[in-house]
Amino acid sequence: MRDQLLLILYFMGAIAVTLIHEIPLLLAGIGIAYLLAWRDGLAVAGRVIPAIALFNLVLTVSYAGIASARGTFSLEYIGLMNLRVFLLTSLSVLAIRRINLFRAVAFSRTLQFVLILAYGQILLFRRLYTDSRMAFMSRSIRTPALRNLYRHAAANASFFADRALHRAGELTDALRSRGYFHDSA
Amino acid sequence: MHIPDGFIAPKLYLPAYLIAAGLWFTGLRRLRRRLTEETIPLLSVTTALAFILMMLLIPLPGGTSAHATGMAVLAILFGVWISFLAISMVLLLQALLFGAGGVTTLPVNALAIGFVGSVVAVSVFRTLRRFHETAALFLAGWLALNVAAALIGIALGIQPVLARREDGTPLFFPFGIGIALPAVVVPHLVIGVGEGILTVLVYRLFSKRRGTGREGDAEGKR
Repeated sequence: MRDQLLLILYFMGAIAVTLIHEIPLLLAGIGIAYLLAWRDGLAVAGRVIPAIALFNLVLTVSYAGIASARGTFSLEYIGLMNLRVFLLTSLSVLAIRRINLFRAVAFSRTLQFVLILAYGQILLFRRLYTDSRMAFMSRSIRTPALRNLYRHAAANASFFADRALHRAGELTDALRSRGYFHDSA
Repeated sequence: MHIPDGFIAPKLYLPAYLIAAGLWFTGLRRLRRRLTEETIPLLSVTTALAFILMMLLIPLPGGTSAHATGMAVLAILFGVWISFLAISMVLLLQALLFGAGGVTTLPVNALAIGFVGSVVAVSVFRTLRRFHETAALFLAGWLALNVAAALIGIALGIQPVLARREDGTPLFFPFGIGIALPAVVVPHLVIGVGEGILTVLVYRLFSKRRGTGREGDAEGKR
């Protein structure tokens, strides 16, 4: 229940942030977010800044250049855009740290199961993919040719597509043997 | 390709949530009618597959690379609805577990990449495969990516019109369609070539592995 409530609050908070167009209010929002983060504040900021820095920097510089040339430059917009993105991303990172997503979606048993199973498979697939990529690179003395890079990517993708189907069958059997479908009926 | 949080106005993402919710509901209902017990496992593993496909690096000439979306591969092998639901689920997990993307841009990304991209891929493949299967696969991958990119460019480009101050200062994304659309689409014209090649190769390898060569067979073959 706690996680569901926090998830709802997070969604409402995110919507509220996009309805605010005043810099002082966004600054107050950032203050509140980091008060809520408390001891995790530095860790949250440490994750937010690298995540948004590049895109926001490119956008800020592009806007400054184009808007100056057109005579429509607004320093307020730069502050507003950067603060909003910083606050939204901070809220997201805070939500990730505070909310157990799987408990938060417990209102729907189907959604909960899909997310739990998908997350487990993602972790497994990701590890396999990383292993495969590292194995490929470690066995290539020179930079692989474009053709080989494509063949490697395609072989990986088809392997995972095949494995996905195989795993779907296995998971169905596993769920059936544990009475999941019987309980749902 | 997807839009990060904070650049889309509520005037766009709230209606987009309504449309996406309707499509998620329809997709899930259609899937359940067809697959029953296998719905949950299949949706879970295709979500994981979509996640991995988005991790794949498309090699580009000159030593650079870009991330694939895999939407054409997913849509052609598993069908539009599974592809749409799986990509939406990936976007949700990325926003709430992995800290990428965001909840305010999720519906726009899901509709552009997951739904429209999948519909375009399957439509192109179905229409053109009778003439030349390889060309159909390539064009499905290329066009799906570029149509999705164009939609994202348009979604960003209309922000200055949707949300601005009285003096014209933008409140969300600052550039109009004239800048946003080419900025998003032009790089994808090149990346799309990689996505198209990957679509051809993955479909071929998968068909050989599974002994199947027809669209949608991935589901039915199990």
